[in-house]
Amino acid sequence: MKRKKYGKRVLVFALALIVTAIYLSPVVWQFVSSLKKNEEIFRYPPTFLPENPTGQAYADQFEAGLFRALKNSMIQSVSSMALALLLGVPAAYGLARFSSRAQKPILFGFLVTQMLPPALLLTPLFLFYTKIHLINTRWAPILSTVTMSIPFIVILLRPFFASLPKSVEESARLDGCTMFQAFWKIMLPVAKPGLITAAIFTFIFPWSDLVYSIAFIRNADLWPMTTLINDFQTKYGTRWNSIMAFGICIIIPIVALYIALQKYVISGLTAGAVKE
Amino acid sequence: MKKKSGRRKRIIGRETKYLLLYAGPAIIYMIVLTLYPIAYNFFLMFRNMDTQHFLNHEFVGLETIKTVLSEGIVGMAAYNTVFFTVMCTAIQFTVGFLFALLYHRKIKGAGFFKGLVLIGWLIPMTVTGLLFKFMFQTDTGVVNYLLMQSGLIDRPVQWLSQGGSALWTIILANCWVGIPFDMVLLSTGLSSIPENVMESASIDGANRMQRFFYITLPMLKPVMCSILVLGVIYTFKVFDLVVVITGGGPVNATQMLSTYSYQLAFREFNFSEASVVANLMFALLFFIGLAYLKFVRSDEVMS
Repeated sequence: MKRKKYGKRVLVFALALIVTAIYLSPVVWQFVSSLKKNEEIFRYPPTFLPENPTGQAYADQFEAGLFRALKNSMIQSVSSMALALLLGVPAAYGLARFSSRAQKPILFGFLVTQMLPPALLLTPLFLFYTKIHLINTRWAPILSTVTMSIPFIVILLRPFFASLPKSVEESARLDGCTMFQAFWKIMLPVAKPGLITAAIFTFIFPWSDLVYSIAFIRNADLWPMTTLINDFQTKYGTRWNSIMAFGICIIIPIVALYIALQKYVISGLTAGAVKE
Repeated sequence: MKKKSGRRKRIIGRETKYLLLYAGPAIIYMIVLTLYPIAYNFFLMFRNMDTQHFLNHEFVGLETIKTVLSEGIVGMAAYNTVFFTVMCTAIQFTVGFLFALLYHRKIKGAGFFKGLVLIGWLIPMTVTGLLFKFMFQTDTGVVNYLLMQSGLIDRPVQWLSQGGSALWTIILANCWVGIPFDMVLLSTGLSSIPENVMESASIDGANRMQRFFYITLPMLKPVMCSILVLGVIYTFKVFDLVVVITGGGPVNATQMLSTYSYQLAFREFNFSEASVVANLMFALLFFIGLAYLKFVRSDEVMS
């Protein structure tokens, strides 16, 4: 009886291993292809391991402007994250701490805006940015991606702040803290895990963004990595080793963040699905 | 009682003030950069703003809407968007559920496997799109090679130059991204089912199937509902994948409402026509939202 159960367990384990491997095989293929020379990519039958692994495709990317695009992606993502946190965290706190008739409709508004597809806002935002002379600057995609992040922060952090006991804050105020000091010095440190999750996601949103940058920035010098790789493939559509290598470069920072802070990523993922 | 309500009234005034103090900036920001654009779309829909009338656009009634309809692409884009959304949501939910059930079995490394699979969700859609485009190339694509080797096809399939298979390639790519998301949420749901419920059911003689249909599924119902709704909302947004894989082609066969609206505004510089398509998206989303609210409400009444 026991042996049968053990055998079954091994079988399930093997199945899980195979399923996981099949699922991840596209990324592995991407990495393998990025180490090939382009002639090898066009060979038939395809080689499943690169014959002479080479970093040439990666080196080529530096000439294609990888560094500048990386810098642009960094500037956009960090600015977007900072602005979103600056606006979103106090909003989440306010909506958790103070009960008011306005609370429900405001929350509902944030929930709804999180669902809006960016393509819906493109035209009016384009005209708006043109009017205030922000078109063709980094600010256009930065300001736009923040509209995705703020509702996310509110939905993620509000339950967090609401679950922290009010008495902590009240005793701080009795000790002479102002309301703002209580928020800054007491509530924020306690909410740190939630804040880390918020920071990760509000960094990933703009990092992955294509739609706003492609629509609002015409100056190629300001393009983030996603926009540059899209442009690259329309120009040199068959240089697959370079395209795959560039793709790996876009993925690396996110995967690094994920490996370092995995539990925060998963908690952020499940937060969006919790019904209010 | 009376005294309490009187006190509360004063507090509400003060609390509202504080609430607005903290949340006000974010609210104003969202009004300017989301609510105002939505309203502006409605305004723009009845005007004729394009390159020739960029500054001197005027009210034209329903003319712009008629033009968009007469071009005949918007219907296809709407159909594609709905088809794409329904297919992706259904497939990624089913496969994600199977993944969740598999990883829920007591096996070594289940958490590690789950963590690995989640990478698929984290990769920016632009990169995923390029990767799938590469794999589904006619001559160099690894998918054609594997299918030929296994004897399923005898000649390379031109995945991306035919409308139907091109759309399915994008659906597959999107499902690949969506599966881990559904899997993680369903896993969380599965592990929230108390084990003693399962145990007592099996003591009562319920077999695996019965336990699944009479315990697991009913208990997961709220989670499943929110996953399906989120799935619809996220899938409906599709843009990056289409732009990268097909650009809406061949001949608009994979055009979605989002990409069509983008094309009208930023390729043809016809802003009013783009706003018509955007408003159609808004209307569809609005009905999805209404259906969801109604669904949730009737569910609450029932339980």
